[in-house]
Amino acid sequence: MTVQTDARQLSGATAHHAAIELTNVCKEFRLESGEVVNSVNSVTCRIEPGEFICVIGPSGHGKSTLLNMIAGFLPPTEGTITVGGSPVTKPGPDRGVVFQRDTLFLWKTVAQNIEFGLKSRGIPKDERKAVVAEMLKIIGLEKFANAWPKQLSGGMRRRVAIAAVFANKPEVLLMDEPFVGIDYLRLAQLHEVLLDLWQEAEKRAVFMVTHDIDEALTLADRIFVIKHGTLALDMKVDLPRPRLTDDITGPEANRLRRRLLEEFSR
Amino acid sequence: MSMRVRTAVPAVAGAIAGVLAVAAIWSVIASFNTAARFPVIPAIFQATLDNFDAAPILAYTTFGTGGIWSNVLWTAQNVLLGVATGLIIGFATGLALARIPWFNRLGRLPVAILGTVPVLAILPFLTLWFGNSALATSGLVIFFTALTVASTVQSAAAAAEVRYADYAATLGVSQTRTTMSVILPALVPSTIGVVRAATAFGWGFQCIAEVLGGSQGAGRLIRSFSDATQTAGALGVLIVVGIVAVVVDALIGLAGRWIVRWNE
Repeated sequence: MTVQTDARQLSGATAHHAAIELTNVCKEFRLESGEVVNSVNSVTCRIEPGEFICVIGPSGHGKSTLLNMIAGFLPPTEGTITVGGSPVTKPGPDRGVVFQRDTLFLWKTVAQNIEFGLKSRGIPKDERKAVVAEMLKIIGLEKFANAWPKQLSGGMRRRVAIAAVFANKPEVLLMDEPFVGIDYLRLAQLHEVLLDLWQEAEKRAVFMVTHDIDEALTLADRIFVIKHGTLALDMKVDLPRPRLTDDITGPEANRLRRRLLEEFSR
Repeated sequence: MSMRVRTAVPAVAGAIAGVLAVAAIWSVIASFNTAARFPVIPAIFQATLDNFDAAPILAYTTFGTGGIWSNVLWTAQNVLLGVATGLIIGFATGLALARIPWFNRLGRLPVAILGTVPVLAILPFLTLWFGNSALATSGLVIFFTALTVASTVQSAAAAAEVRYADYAATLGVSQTRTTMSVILPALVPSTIGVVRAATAFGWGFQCIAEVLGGSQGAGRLIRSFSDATQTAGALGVLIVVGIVAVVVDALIGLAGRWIVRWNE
C-alpha cells in the first residue's frame, strides 16, 4: 500500500480512501456443540465519505455482527475492513457507535456526557465548550445542559447519546437499531436531529442497522439488505432531501419499498 | 421532567407507631414476669439514666470505668472503623477481581471459599491471634464488610463493563481512564447500599465480639449487666445502641442520597 500511495503521490493523483471498505469479510462462530455457524459470508462493499447507509434484513442474519466487526468489537474470521484507509483492529474514536442500549453516563450531566469523549482525548476546554453548545443547540436541549440523564425522557436521552457520539467527530458513525421502541412522533424528531447532525458534518458516513423499511427510506442514500450473512442487495435511494411525507409515500418510494419487500420474501 | 415529592411525615409516624406497639407488647409481657427477666419500661429508663455516664458494675467485672454512653461510643467507633477498613479492602479486591484478569484467576476461588465461612466462626481465631485488642473485636466487621463489598463490587463492575466499556473505547478513552471515570462512578450506588447493610449488620457482629471477648464496648457492658442479673441496665445499653445505629444509618443514608443524587 505504501508503494501504491507513493506512486500516486509521485504521479500527482490524490489518494482517495473509502469511509468504510469491506473486502471478502467473513465471520464464523463456533457453537458449544462444536458446530460452526457462518454469520457473515464474504461481504465486499465500499462506503464513501458522507454516505448514509441503512442495513436491513431478517433478525439473526448478520447485520449487527457486521457492525460489530466494523466497530472493532469482533475480529473477522477472514477478509479485511478498513476505515479511512486504515485497517480496523480494535475499537477507536474514528468509529463512533450509538448502541441500542442506553449508554449515557448517569452520573454526568447532559453537557458532561457530550463533552466526555473530547475531554478524555485532551481537547482544550474552550473548544469543548463550543462543541457542546453547538450540539445542544442542534438537538434542542440547551435548557437541559445541566440535567441528569434520569431526568430526561427516552427520546431526549437518545438525542443526547447521538450528540455525544457526533461531538467526538468520528470519521464514521455506526448505529445499531438506535431507535427501537420510540413512538412515531418522537421517531420523526429523532430522524430530523440525526439528519441535521449528519448534514453539519459533511464527510461523515453513517452505517445504521434497522428493521424499519420506512426509516431506511427516510434516511438512507443506499440500503443494504443482509440475508444469510451475505449482501443480498445494495440499493441506491434517489429520493430528494429533505424527504417529506409525500416523498416517502410517493411512487418512487413505493417502487423501492416493493423491491425491498420482494428481496425479503425471496 | 418528572419530579418526585418526598415527605418524611408518614415514615416518622409509622416509626413512632411501631415503637409504641413494641412498648405495649413489652409492657404486657413485663406485667406477667419478674423484673429480672422482663423489667418494666420505667425501670429500663431509670437504669439507663443511672448508668449513662458511669456504670458502677464495670468496676466489679472489668475494673473498667465509663458508662453506657462512653461504651456505646467505643462500639460505634469500632463499627465505623471496621466498616471503613472492610470497605477499602473489599472495594479494592472486588474491583481488581473484575478488572485485572490475572488477579481474577488467582483470587476468585479463595474469595469464594472465604465467602462460605460463617462470620462468627472467625471470632475464636481473631481472639487467638489478636487477644482482646480492638482489632480482635472489629475483625468480624472488617471480614463481613470486605467480603460483601468485594462480591457486590465485582458483579457491579462486571455489569458496568458490559454496559459502558465498549462505548468508552469508541470515544477513545484509555483503559485506565475508563476504570477511573466510568467503572468507579458506576459502582457508587451499589457500594453505598452494601455499606449501609454492612453497617447495620456490623453493630450486631461488634456487640457479639465484645460480649464474647472484648475488654470494652457496649457488648462488654451488656455482659457485665447480664452477669449481675441487672437486665434493665443491659436492655438500656441495647436501646442506646439501637438509637445510635439508627442515627448513623440515617446519616449514611443522607450522605449516600447526596452522593448519588443523579440516580434519584
